[in-house]
Amino acid sequence: MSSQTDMPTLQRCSAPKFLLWLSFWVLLLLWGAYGAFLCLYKGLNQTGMNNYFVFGVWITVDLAIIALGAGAFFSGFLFYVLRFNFLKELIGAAVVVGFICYSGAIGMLTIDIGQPLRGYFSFWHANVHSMLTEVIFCITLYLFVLTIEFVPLITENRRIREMPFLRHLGENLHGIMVVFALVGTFLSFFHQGSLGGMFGTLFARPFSYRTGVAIWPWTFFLFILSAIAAGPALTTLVVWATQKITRRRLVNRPTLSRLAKLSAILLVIYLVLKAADTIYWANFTAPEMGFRFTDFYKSPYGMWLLFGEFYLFGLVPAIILLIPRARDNDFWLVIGCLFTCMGIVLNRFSFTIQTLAVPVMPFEKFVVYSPTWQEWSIVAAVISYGVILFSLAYRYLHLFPREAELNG
Amino acid sequence: MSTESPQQSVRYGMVIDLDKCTGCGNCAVACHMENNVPFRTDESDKSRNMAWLRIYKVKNGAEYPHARVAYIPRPCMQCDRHTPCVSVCPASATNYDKSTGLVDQINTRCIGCRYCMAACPYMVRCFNWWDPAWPADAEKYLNPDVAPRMRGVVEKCTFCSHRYIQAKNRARQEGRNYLEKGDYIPACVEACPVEAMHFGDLNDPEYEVAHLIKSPRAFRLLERLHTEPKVYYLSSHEWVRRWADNDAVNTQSAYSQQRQGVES
Amino acid sequence: MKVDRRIFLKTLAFAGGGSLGFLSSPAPWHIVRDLARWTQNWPWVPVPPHGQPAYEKAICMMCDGGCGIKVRKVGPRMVRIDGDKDHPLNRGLICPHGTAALQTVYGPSRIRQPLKRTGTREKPDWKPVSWEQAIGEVAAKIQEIRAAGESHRIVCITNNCESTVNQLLERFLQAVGSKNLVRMNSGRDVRNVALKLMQGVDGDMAYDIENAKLIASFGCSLLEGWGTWGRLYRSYARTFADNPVQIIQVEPNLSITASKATQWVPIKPGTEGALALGIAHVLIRERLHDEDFVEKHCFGFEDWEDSSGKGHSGFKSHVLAQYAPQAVERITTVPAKEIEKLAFKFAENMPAVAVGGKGDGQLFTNVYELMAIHSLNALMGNINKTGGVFVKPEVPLTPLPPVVMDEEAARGYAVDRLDGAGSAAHPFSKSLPGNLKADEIRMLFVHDSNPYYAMPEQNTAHELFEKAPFIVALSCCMNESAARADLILPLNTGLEKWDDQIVAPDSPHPIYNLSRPLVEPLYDNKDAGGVLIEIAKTLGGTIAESFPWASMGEVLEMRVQGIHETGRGMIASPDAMAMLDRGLGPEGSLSQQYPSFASLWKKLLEDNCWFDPEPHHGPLQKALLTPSKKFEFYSQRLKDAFGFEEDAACMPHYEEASLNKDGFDLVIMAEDTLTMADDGKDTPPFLMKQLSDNVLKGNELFVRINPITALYHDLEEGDRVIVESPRGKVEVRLHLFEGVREGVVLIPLGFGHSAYDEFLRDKGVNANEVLEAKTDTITGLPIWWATPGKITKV
Repeated sequence: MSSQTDMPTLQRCSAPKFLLWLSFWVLLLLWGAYGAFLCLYKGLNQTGMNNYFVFGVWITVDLAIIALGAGAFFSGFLFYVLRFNFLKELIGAAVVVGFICYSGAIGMLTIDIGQPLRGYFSFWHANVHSMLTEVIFCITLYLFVLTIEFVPLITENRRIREMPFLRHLGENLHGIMVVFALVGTFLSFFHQGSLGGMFGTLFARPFSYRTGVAIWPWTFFLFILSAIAAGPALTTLVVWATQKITRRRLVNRPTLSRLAKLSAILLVIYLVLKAADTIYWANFTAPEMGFRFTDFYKSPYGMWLLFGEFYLFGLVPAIILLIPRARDNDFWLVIGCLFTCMGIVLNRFSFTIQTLAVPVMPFEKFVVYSPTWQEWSIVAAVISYGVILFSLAYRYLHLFPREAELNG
Repeated sequence: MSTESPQQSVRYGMVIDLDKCTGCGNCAVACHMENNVPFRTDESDKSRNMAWLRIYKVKNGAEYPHARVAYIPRPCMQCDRHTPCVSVCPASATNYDKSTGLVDQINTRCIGCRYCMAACPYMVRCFNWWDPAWPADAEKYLNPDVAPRMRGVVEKCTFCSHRYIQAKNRARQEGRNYLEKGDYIPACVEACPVEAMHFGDLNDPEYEVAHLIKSPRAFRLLERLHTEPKVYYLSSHEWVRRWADNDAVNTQSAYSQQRQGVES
Repeated sequence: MKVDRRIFLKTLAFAGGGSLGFLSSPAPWHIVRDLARWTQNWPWVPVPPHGQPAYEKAICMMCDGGCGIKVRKVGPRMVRIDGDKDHPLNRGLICPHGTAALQTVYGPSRIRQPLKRTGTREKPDWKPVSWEQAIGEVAAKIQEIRAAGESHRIVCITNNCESTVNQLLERFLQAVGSKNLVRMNSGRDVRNVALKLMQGVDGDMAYDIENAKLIASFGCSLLEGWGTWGRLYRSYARTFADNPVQIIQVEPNLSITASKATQWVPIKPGTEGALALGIAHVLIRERLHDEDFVEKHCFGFEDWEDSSGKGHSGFKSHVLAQYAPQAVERITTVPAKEIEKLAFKFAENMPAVAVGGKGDGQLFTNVYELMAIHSLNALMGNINKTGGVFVKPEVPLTPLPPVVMDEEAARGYAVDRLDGAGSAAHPFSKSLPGNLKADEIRMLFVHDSNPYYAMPEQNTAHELFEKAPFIVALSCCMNESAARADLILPLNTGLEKWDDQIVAPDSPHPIYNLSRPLVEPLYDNKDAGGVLIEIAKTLGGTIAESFPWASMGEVLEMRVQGIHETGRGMIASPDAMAMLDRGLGPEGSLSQQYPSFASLWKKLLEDNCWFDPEPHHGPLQKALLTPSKKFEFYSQRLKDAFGFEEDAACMPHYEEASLNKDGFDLVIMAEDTLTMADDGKDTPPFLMKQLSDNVLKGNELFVRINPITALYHDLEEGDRVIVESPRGKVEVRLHLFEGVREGVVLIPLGFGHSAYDEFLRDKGVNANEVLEAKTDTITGLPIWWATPGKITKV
């Protein structure tokens, strides 16, 4: 056993218990693998997508987890660049969550495209005008950055540290992490924005089209803002859930509250801007294209989507988390963060599904999409993959620097 | 890519006279024969079937016996202003040819992300949800000029761009560096039995289309979106023209009322 | 095995090193690149081979319209069909069925070799047999029947084209000893009876729509496949020309023709005849009619006395008394004012033609209705006149030589037809398949038709195919009738065979279409003519003597001699069309252009079509062969045949269609669509692609009703309903359409096949299952276009 002082032995559950926990998620993962096999082998006819709904639950989840994964870059930015030191307690966890989200999203995208074996054509024959090109480039590059940020965490593992090369690698990387944090911030900023831009620039889809600044539609900025608001909320949730499941204290309680408060402040700013954007779009952009605001909302994609996004999963969690007593209470903290995350999922859902459900040609019809089990299985697999990776990371890596001290 | 650009000499476009069109479907069948479009056992699922040219039927919404219908054949609109599908493709698989205005799809480059389909407001593009398959000997009628596509890529009407290339090659063999009227005509236009479809260079007054698009009967689909389609329609009926665009603001042609008269 | 740290690390190092080495080699790049290339050349995606390009002319055989086509060939493959611009009928226009015809030619429902049934008729299994065996079995069966002295019980059901093949079939039956060549009926047969009764001519009405200024269509689906599609679309296009033609469409529902016509006259179903008589009333009252023609060439217009001195009321007093616009309004629901206007419009736009018969020609109406409509043509003097109605001219083909008959043939041929056509009961009809009885038949040939699916008398058809002791199908495709045969002799399709079409329906020009093989037969199939010749040769004796030819090609070559001998007309070519367009006749006679028969034959093989741009219809007298040698408003033939006492019974009059029945509150009407082949033929997949999803969704067919009908019956769009008639019921879904008349259920024809391929089979229901065929007492033909019905929600 190692004798190094900065690496205390941490108490973990028994191997059988851990395996039991893993086995459930592995089963889900296998189910997803089967779904993925069907989609790759038989083609995308296995999904519920069609020529109307060219994007489905996968793109919704992709957008959502990339937004929620923004906790990584944003925490990194705050910690390494702006020196928000309280984040040290969970920066590792944030990086792992980010890594999971981004790698999961890329995996899902690979199945989503019709010709995965040609996927690299978007690099090889890149079209610089396309927001999607920007997204693909930035996501891939940022995944590299996240991998690099992940490496020091791995090299901190006691056994790996025994190998000098890897130990030095980890320590050196740690030293220049501020550079990667900056690069990551830059990349993330752009692809979060481009994801919004992807929809905002669809000038022939009145539901998602937005005017903007130069080449950037307002959704570009709103997506960035909503992502950095929701990212910390997910980080908070994950840390809280890990504490509950492992029954150990991992971070100082006030840290979570501070993170949640940060999230709430950003959320409020986002909501204000989003409201302004929606009002302008509803009153100017859409009518210019011949649409009335109410034309966009038909059952089952009714006004409840907008209500949910703004109030129940927007204003409500923001207010909860802005009240100090509420966010210090675990129940309200979780509700607040959870609702924040759901609001972002709902927002990404609207942009993906609603955009396509609304007929643009007057003689087309309003359409409804329902995913097949194959699609859900892959969503489930991505979640399981995340749980498994995070569990392994928690068990074998030193994600929470103050864990020993807090449980001492 | 601006419509006014003087240096762009040729802009191929189409004019479809809806007063004449009977919706017989010969244009679509000819198109599908020419372009090796696959077919499946169940073609009634219009959300997934493959059609490069679709014929929509619209009604005036009136009661019997004042009810009337019109047919709107819809090929690719070949949009002219930063063509929605071209700018979004991450792999440059959709191409706008500046010298002709043709919007073409490079199927062997397409990665199947379908972003172009989301960008297109005309529902022109179809995804190959299945491997294209022809029963038994049906492969024998496939046109050698157009490669059948593979599963997982997006395809669409190209204004029979292979015919353009052939016409250019023929012209070159004859020592011409320009095309004469009638050298290049898409299959649908050729097949229309009532000459409701016209084709040619919208910039060249030699062609009938150049005059037809200035007709007071002329309109395009979804002009408010400023996609600048190069496919024009002609109709002398106000109620048909109203179908061309969404007009929620103008209460006289209440959008939601129009929607009730939809048949595709 | 215990893995110690050393081994673990070594393995890790090897794995890592190996991976790094692999990654820094060119291999991954090559793999990635090659995989992408592989996706671009998947072996299961067909690559159509290139080959020697060629364009060859041919005749479209998807229906009997006779349009000329141009086939693009690439090596041995046919890849594309376009219209032939040099064909006088369609001038380059073809319908989507023609454009998609290659899907049928290369389609999966083609039969590839002779088949012998081993299972039951309901659940057949097929054993491939050789042609020798198949023809041997047919011959043996015929010998057996002839030996038993029952040759008159051999029946052949065939299509209703005019062709040499049908003449050979007739000849074959005669040589064997049977009169029973039974053609599938069509609405044309009713028109022929009307022509026979009013003009005394055995033949078809031919409408000079090319020169008419107005076409008054009483329910004809002119744009949905009536007559020759390309010809009708040319006429429709003329409605937009500088010197336009007007199309008036009288029809209960908003069909494509109605929606595209110059004027649509909505009318109560089945009252078209009354409207025609209402128009006649106004024409006569206002003296807008051609008084000269009526006086000189018509019989029964004024009141008259017969030889016995008995007084009869004429058409004039009959119409003036009974069909005043107000009275007609009550019958038809067409406003009296509108009837007046229509009459004036008709009279002011001469020459005009009035055409009748419902649907695209597959639906059958009451003969009096057609007489009423045709009387408009006579009133305006438009018989045998440019822009009017002609009798379809003959093509001067060499007739087939007389049949040589042996004793049994002579005996059998003397026996009356089994379908009663031409008998005292049905003196005016040529064939009545609906009257066939299975137990009178010993052997049934079915040639290029699908009676099991398409015959209006479905009960008769089903009984035939259940009980006829031996059925031989001559068919290209596995249709419902072939699927119930005992032996299938597979035929070549139109593009692989020798065949011809003698004249096109409804055209005033004599037109002869010759069809020759463009490609080698795709399968072990033969031409129908060739099969008959082989069977005849196998049978030997006088039967073989009656078929002295070696092949179908030889028969056709012999027949075309006749055209050569007349020296008239021209071969359809670009020059010929250019001359026609300049209003010129042929430049010199045919014999000057093609001095030898060989040169004519060669040219005809290339261009497929002979026609006469200046038909000699001869004097009016040739078109008026009634007992009075006049156009008969009062048909003396009708009087002679049935002895009607009442004058009206021999004149055009309105008979109420019996569409009311207790317990049935709606009228089910058959709908002819362009998309579906409704005569039992194949519909290519690309046409199925054209169907809207409110016509067919999955395998469910939609019927259309007016939203108000739906409201009264508490029904909604998309509802699953049972449509029931006294004959049967079907389960369908509902589509609401304002163009359908209130109280009408519109059910499209051509669906519900149980045979053919997966692209057509089991799609929707066969409208024949609910449409009831009633027999017209005059013609013996079915009246089949509407039936009382009701709808109940499932």
